[in-house]
Amino acid sequence: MSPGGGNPSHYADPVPGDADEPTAGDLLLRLRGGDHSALADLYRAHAALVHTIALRLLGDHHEAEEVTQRVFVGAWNSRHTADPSRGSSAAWLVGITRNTVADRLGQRARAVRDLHAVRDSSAAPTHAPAVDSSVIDRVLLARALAGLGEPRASIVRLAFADDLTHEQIAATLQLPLGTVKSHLRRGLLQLRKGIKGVGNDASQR
Amino acid sequence: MHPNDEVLVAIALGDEVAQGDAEHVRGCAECGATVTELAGLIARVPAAGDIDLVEPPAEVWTRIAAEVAQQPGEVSSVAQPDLPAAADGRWSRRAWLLGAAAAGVAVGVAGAQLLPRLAQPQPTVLMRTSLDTLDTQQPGGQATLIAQGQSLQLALNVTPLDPGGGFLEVWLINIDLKRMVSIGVLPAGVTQQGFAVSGDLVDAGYRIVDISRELLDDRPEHSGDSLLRGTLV
Ligand SMILES: [Zn+2]
Repeated sequence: MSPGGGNPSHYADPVPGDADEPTAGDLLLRLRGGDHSALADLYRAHAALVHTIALRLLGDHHEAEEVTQRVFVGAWNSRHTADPSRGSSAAWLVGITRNTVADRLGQRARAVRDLHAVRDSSAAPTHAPAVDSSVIDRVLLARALAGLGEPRASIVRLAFADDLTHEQIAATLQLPLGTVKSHLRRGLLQLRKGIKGVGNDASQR
Repeated sequence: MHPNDEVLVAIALGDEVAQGDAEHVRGCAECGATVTELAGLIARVPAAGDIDLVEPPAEVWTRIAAEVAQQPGEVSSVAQPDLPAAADGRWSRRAWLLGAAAAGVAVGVAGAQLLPRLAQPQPTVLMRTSLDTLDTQQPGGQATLIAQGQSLQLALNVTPLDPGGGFLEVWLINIDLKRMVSIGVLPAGVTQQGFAVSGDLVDAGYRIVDISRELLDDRPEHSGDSLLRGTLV
């Protein structure tokens, strides 16, 4: 039970030992200070996230790689805007990724419009499709899932994606029922924590 | 006083909680909102579970480092990140199966109880499939390929199946649809059973799980009377 009845108990971290990005603030501060190794650390931590979001939104390997390059070079160039008090390094990079992908989609739309203009001067302007936030949310959740470790990630998938009962999961993985339930509870809280403040939560839609 | 997150997550999962807590949450907008948020998260897992994170190729970092190093007023040495190994994929089956093959896991048949309960590494789902009836594609259960320690086993969770006058046999059919092996018998009335399988076999393409109804005759081959089938992915 939480002491005092204050609302902070709602967001207390009940899962020990899974504090994410313990040095995230340090990382952004090092980046602001012009430390190149901080950019390398940032890349190692988040390149797959940025690249996968770009790949899913643009559907093109070549463009996704270019966007990844632009995002990290852009992060370096705008490192003075990195502010640990305003969110995690992942949230900051996802924001830059969103803008970079939006630019790409805009370029594509302009290219289509130019093509129409050549053929038909009365063609209506083509608007760039908006960045699909649900795609970003799915990738963030996939990343949080992968970060659960085993057997927790398998248990969460069997329960929520395959709809096995807790008893079936216990028998399937040969784990005690209480262990399965405990992994599910902690896994769900970890997932919530993993996506909080990134993606839609952090974007100004 | 609000119950803690453990209680709210238990409610979201449909588990029993203390009556006082349940009553509080029913009447508290704040706790209700958290339970709703957690339930929404559960609903989003299936769509996210199919996404593998993809590392960019190594040359992307090379280009970033080169571009950053060229900028005026900066130290030109850019540290090389220890590029992560291949992403820790959903079901990191490839690596595991290769390891299992190297360790020479035997092809065999055993009930789940016979397998040693190895503490490490943790049981991990490598592949899975739903099992459906062949004719009408009605769902009939799940098959899950699980690695634990040096053992690999296929766990079945199925609806009760009627063996007719014979018995139920579990097969792995190769994806070339030309070869198959029997991995064991599912006792009548049993809805949950594990079968030891070999990584070599799965690696060689024996990924179609098939449960057939066999007659008590002297013909060891598949009867052709399949009840449920699904392909492990
Ligand atoms: Zn409350």
